[in-house]
Amino acid sequence: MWRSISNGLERVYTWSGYGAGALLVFLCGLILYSVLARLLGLYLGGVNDIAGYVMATSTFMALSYTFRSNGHIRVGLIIQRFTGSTRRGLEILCLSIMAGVIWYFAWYMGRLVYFTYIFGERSEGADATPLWIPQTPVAMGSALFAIAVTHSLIQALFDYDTVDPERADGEAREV
Amino acid sequence: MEILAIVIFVGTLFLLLGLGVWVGAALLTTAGLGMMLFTSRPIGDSMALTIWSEQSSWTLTALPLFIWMGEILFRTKLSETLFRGLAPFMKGLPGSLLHVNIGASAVFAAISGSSAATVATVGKMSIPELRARQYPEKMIIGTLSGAGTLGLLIPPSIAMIVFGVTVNESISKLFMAALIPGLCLALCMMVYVACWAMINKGTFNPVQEVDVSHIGRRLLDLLPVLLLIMGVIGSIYAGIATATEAAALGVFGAILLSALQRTLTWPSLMESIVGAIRTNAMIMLILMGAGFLSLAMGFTGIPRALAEGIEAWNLSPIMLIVILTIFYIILGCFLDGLSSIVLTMAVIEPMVRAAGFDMLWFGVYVMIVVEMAQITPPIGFNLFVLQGMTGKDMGFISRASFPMFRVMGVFIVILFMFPELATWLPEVLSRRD
Repeated sequence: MWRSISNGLERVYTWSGYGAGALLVFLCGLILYSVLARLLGLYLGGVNDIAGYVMATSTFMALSYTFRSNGHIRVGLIIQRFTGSTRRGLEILCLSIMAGVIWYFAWYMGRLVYFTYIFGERSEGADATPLWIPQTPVAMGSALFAIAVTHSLIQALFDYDTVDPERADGEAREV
Repeated sequence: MEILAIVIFVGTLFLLLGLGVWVGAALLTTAGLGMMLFTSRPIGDSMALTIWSEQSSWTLTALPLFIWMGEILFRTKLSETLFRGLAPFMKGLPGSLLHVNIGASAVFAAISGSSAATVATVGKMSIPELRARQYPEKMIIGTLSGAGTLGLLIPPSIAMIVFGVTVNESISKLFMAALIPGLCLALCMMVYVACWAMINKGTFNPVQEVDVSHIGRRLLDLLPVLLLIMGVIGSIYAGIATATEAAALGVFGAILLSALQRTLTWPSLMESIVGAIRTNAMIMLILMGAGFLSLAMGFTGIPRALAEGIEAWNLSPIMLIVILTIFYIILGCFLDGLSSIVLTMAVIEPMVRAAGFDMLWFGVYVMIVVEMAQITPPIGFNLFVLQGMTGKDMGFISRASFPMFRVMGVFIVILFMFPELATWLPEVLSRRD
């Protein structure tokens, strides 16, 4: 049963990643459209705000996928020197800290959405979007991110072979 | 009080980073802990609000788009075009094809904005070509790793956007400030190579043979790339597009260009999108941590105290820069460039402003020190990339890169003596309106 939940979650991360990609394309299209509209002298209110919301949604949808495909960076200087069970212990410690802080953030992000909704806050731009609308996917994205980290933590605890970083081909990207 | 706070902050941060906690999460945890100890403000609410406002801000939208543009161009035949187009012209210079490494890196850096990608892409093409012509391995590696770092400086640079967002400076202006220093630094590297070639005339005898047929055709191949760069940077400089708009136009141009070269396929486009969202998410997580950390730092009063301390010491600007340079190079030994920028800015920014530095100039300066950090062992991404590509050991690669490290050091001195290198262009371009 655990395997099927795990596989199911894996699919959710991947689809969330695809969603992030689609939003990136949309973001680009939106900006191009606004440039075009300005050249034609049309007025487009609030594009800047909407672009920001689209970007935030895209980013948060991509967080879990990126985490599960080893895309986030960490300092490997010390941890790489350990192997076997010491390494496993350190991995578990790191994952626990990460899971804790991301759950904490996800919880408060959810609370932020709740209060924005209760108080009916709107964006200050020309679009006057009720802010809970763009905030909801961000909160969901952070919750999924927290689930992804917890997922890795549980795997490290009970099914270490599937996440063993000594076997996985780690990838470090940098700009 | 402040001393205790500093010890706790720095201690926690380095402990977490050293353990191997993901950089963004380490920053968030440190900031949360700091707020818990030194303020009575609501931690979680401030965290959510800060991250939400930063992550949905218009300024930041340039970042994912520029990353995507780089990812598309990265998958075209660009490096081949650059090598074939530049080689016939660099042949006559002392040091001949080594200059192609630098020139191609500078151009590629401009469009990809990423330093590791520059080294990997230019290197893939030029390492075999230069090896076949018996160029010394040391110089092949040195020029590649050194010039690869230009991606941080030459606009549009992703690290520069991150810096601009962190210190609240106009990204367009930073892009203007970085152009001349970026080109000058590339020139300095070329001068170094030329001098080296003249001194070692006796032992440096590579095969001079370069295919010079169809020069016109090759230049024509280079043209669309150059047009794309000029279009993107030029539209920002001319004030007709914001950084974000220029980035979106850049993506459009990059797709056109790869269609023109017939490298645009459905899978390669999908790969570019996936690559872009991953890099973007990676950078954004660090930015989230850094944003919250600088808020927490602000509450503790550390940055202000340090800024006042520096003022009280009456350090001359030159001393401050010397100290900062050493500090960043040491930090760069353990952290990647981006993390060391965002991590320190919360504290460094007020200090530097108090000392009266121009923030545009300082942005250019920071990029160069971080570039130096990219090629210092044990953590230097360009070194890792080259290690993978050449199979040489880290010691050899670091030694080969060291001359370029020194060139950058010299350039910092030049930049300090002539700050106009960075400040002149933004002034001229913004005076217009």
